[in-house]
Amino acid sequence: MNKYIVIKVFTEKIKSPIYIGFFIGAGGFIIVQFFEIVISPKKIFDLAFLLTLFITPGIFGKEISSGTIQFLLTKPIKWSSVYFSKVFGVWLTMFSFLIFTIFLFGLSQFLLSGLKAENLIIFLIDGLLKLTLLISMISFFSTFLPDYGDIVAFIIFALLLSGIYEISHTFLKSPVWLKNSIESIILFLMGKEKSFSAWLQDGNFLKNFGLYLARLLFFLLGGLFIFKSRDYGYGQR
Amino acid sequence: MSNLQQNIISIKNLFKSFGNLFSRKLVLKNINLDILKGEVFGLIGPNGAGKTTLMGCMLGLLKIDSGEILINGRSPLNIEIKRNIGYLPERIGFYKTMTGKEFLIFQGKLFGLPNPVLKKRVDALLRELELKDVANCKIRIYSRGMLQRLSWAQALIHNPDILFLDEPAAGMDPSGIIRVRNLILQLKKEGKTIFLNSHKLSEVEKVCDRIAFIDKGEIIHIETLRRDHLIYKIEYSETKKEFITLDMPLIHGLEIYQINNSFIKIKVENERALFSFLKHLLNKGVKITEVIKEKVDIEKFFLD
Repeated sequence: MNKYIVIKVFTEKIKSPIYIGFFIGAGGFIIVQFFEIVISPKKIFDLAFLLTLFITPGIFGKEISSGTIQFLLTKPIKWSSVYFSKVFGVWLTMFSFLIFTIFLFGLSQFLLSGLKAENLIIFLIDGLLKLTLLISMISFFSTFLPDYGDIVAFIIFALLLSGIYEISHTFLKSPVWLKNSIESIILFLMGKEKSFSAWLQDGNFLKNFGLYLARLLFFLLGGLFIFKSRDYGYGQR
Repeated sequence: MSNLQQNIISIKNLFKSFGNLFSRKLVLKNINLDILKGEVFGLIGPNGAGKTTLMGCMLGLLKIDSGEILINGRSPLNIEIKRNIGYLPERIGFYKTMTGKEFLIFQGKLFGLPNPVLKKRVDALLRELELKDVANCKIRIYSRGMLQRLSWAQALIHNPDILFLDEPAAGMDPSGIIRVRNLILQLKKEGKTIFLNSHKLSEVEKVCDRIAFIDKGEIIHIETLRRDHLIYKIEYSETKKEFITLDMPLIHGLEIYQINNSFIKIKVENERALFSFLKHLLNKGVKITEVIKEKVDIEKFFLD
């Protein structure tokens, strides 16, 4: 990984108006607790997911269409390093958002009602796992779609898979193998089944973690494969 | 030319196409080129001829269908090779939220330059390319000429031995074009190998040692530009062109460039070669009507 690319992505993202706006928004969420309005940590994570949908798109597509990617790819850095550095830069941005907001949230909760720290840690891990997957999925689409085509493709992809899942679950009774196959593929790609807290409870932690890892690698390595195998010339923008 | 003999870039049987599984368009056809160390090599041709595509392949930005590109005997994607390459792209995209100075520092760091060296290089380039006054301004306010100069600065930040310049004077005013020309000549003096694409024939002529003409993806001619070469048009009364060259002695430094039944154009290294050729014509009984000295004109080469 190249630290200069990571730092560049990170500083660029945290200075963006959308990040600052969300940061202020999260602060507002926390302050309202002092007026005895109950806010669950889930709301903070929902905010983080929403921010990810604004921060990640165009991670590669924008650089490819503007041509700046050529400045990176002609440097003495492996292309895989360029790819992972950019993804990690976005991840770091989201991590910083989560850490700061969760800290403020925990502090305010503690002041108000003495919230247990372990609950927050589980929420934090759950949030990070989901954010990481979300970033890897949008990055995957960004390697071959221009500008913000990645976020459009991601939303269509998610809606399409959810739709197919619901149809197969509700209407498709037989053959059973087909129904199960469709559902397995969709569960694998979208990870709809469980949250991290559920992994801990159902006694199948390793299996759940393995599935998550496979899903993450599928998108990360798939994106890397496309990133490395495509052309970066004028006709390709 | 004694120090120019080492081959630094070698392209063999290169083919490149664009498209998908069902329809592909061949844009580079059987390209073979050898570029020597320390030479300025120009690639000229009309728009869409494949100049930028060829440069993209040489930089590893475009995947080739078949053939081989070697820079110093290695792939263009080799990290050590890239360390020695500077690239000035034709279409300039920048990180517009950065300042010019920040951009150059970022580029230098990607090349792994240590901080003290980087600081000196950045200051020197900003001064040389007259960007000092706008160094701390955001790139988004830069004019086209300033962007071109900034692009030059990033290409030179690590003092590379090999430079790929895609339309190096694009968007520049006349004084900018002269500055670029002088910069290329200065880099040549420093022993850099330069590969440049341009459609400005007059500019290429002034700085290049050799030029390749590319059209429809094919190299159609490679010409060595010797500024000390002379071209003469010798007109004679109607004589069969085959008769002119029949039994012609070997004359050192002479090249026939165009011939027909009423005139011949020759390129000579010195006037001794011209006199030897005229003697040959007179011995054959050819009636010479006029000998005209012509200017070496790259545009004529191109049109011919």
